[in-house]
Amino acid sequence: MKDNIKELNLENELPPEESAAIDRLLSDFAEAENSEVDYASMLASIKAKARKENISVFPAAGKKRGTARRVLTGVGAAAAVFVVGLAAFAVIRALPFPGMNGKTAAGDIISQSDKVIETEQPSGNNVLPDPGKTNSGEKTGNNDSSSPAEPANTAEPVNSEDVSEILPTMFPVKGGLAGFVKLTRFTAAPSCSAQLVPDLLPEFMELKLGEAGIFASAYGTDENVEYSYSCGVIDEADTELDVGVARFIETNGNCLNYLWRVNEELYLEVNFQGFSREAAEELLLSIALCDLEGLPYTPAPTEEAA
Amino acid sequence: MPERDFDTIYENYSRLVYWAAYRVLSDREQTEDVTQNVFMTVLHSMDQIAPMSDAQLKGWLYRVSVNAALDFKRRQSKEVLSDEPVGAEVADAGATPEDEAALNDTRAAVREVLNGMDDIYREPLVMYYFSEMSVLEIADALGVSEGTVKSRMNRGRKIMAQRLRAKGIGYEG
Repeated sequence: MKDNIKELNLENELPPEESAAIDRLLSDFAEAENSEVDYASMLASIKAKARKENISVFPAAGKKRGTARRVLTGVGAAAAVFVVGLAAFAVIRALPFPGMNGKTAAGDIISQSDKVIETEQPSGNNVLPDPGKTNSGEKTGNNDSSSPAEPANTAEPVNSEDVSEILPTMFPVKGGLAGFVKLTRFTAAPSCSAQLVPDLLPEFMELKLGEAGIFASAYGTDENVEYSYSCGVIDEADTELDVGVARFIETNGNCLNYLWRVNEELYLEVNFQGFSREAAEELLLSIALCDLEGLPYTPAPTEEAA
Repeated sequence: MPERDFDTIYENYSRLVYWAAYRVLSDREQTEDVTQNVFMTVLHSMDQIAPMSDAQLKGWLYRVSVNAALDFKRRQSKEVLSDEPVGAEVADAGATPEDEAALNDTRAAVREVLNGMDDIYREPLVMYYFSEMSVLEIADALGVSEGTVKSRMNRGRKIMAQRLRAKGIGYEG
């Protein structure tokens, strides 16, 4: 994993005039490279494809706002019903239990030590603390750890790439994160404008949602201790993980780093500052999706479904 | 909330989509395919796009483009593995030696240095110069702070300067 400390420790900055020269060089280079891309031809191809797929784009006839309409075929309708059914099923699974704010999904317990998933019920030897307890010690309500756990094969995230897959599906692992933990498969479906937010953030932490992207961060101070949560994408991970699995990586000072493989290609580095391992992992397991306004995220119905 | 038609979206963001995909694929022909696919997705998603701010749309497009390129690359590599002998993998910059020769030395050198740079430094440079994203937009898209983006860009420029000097390529300081 990249060493963020080293990364930020920049010795010998480039002199301003040299930096400006490189800036100009890159700007000119980008412009020259862009001039070789035939954007007009690509647009023509896109419109031709759209016509083939019966999608009409008609901004030109007076009204400036463009609209895409898709002809609803019998197959399309059937697919839409299936997708909505899956989404509804996932939403039902993610429905809040008393005291929850609705962002956390099922709390099925699965042990996944050395990539072997067990199908046991949650038990007293789960090293995770009381999942309803925040770092500040307050009960907030949480995953339904008292509900019967489902067998692993039924709890596996859906493998297709429909919208239901972006709903959170979390599996607290028996034995904590010393080994692996199955979190969720996140495919960043095109319709997704959700961000990753722990459900159990202590009240003193202020959530900050970015303008775009799936990422969010939170900061706060309690009794002179600074707490933070953030996550970021990394391009290459030294540790190979199964999709949907997160793992504790290291401690930098009072900052805990976790690696989470969210889909085939994307790894996230999740950082917690100020928290104990137990509290951080509790938060990690409670990460759910919210929309850009911070509300629990529910995929919009497809046009066909509407 | 901004009103947008498809042509305007294409005009404003085709560069962003293209270079986000190119960063992953390093091949112009493949990048064009992926760019077209991404804009087909846009066409299918006009209703979801409508309420997005410009910054949100940029972030969404960037993510969709990178994911589409990664998917394309994964499928491509499987096909290459099954259909072609080892060594037939895509060229680093999608350019043939003939193409390279036609370019002037500086441009070829800049491309080589950029392609050879660690992704952590190359990515923000490509997003900034090619995709025309602001530092804030890059930070949001990558899930890092603005300071981190600036640091990585400075570091990237420094690497560029050092490697160009090592190649004997001058640039006006």
